[in-house]
Amino acid sequence: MVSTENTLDALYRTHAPSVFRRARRLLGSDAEAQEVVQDVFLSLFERPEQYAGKSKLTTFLYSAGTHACLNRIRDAKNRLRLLRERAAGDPEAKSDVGLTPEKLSLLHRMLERMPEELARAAVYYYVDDLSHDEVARLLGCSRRQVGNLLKRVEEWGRAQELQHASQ
Amino acid sequence: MLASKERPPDCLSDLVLDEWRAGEIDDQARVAELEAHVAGCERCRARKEAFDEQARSYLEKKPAFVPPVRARLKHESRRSRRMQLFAVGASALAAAAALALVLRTPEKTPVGGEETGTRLKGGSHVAFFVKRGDRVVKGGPGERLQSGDQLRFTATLERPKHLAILSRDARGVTSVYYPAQPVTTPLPAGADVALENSVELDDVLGEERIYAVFCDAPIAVEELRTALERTGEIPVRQGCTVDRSAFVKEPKP
Repeated sequence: MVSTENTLDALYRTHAPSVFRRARRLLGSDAEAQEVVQDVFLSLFERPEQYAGKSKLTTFLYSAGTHACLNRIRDAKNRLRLLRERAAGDPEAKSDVGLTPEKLSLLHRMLERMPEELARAAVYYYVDDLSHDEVARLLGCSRRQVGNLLKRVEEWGRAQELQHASQ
Repeated sequence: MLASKERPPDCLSDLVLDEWRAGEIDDQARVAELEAHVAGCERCRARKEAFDEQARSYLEKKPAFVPPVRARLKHESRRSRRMQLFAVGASALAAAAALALVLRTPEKTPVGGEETGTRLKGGSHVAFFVKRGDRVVKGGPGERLQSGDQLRFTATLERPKHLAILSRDARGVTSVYYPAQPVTTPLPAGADVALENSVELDDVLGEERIYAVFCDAPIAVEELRTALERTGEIPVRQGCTVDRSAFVKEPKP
């Protein structure tokens, strides 16, 4: 449990850069990524009991950071702002993960409507490039369940593409 | 669908690199394994070095987490309740001081020449406490405050100096926060010396910039204020330094 501000400050110095790096990769925006860092550490400051110390803090922060990013993608105002920022940038420019702004927009369109469990699995597997074992560890489920989730992600994506194409 | 897997199967994932960098891998045999892999793998070595560099660069820009005042007030309130339970007596100000959040000045520029003399670690700077209702917390850079909050400044000086604290609100209107007199008198050297008087924030919302001007010679405060209002900047003056910071004023909820 994160019990004091001194502790939180030490944790911030150790972990904030990686929370920022992941958020920036997923959101494609420095400003939004910084907001995510603030959200995540503010949440730890206000409710330290949410991290019970049973898992590694990195694991907890991958989960908290992903949740905060998905919230931002799903927030209509933020989504529009992210779209505008990408529209103003170089369309061929690649983010840290190798996604062009166009692909990042596609990713956001999918994540904004995808059920939470699938969205998390998709982020860990496709964006963080983690193994099934690691995704299972982050989601707290079995490797087999991860396989099923990723299968559902693919099916969901195909259904959305078909729906999009028919419109 | 979204992106192809790019990491070779034997290479370390970002999760492993992050856990390793955070010192969360207790098994020394596993650490030795990771070190050996990175030593022999160009991709993983480059990635780890890039993470180290990104972290260094990030912490240079954002060295500390500063919770907003509202959250700290709530936190302080919870702490106070716990203190009462254990019958520990401590004033709100002392508890707030324990937060140890000094208003580090992001932009510090010598005005009109180099400052001379021995400097304390961090040099001359100001900090402030925020009083909202009956709660007091220490403020930080980029603080989100409310109309009606009361500010009390403290100064840290490595040697006796003159100090004037001015503000420029979102409408460009300037005010003198310190001193109350038209010309400054020297302040003694010391750490976190409380300045006389407090300031109650008005209802002009938005970013308010704070300028703490330290000089060797007396400062004509009104002259400085009108120059700031006219030009939007503190005029260059030999033997002075300026600490700039800002907070954001929000309406009361």
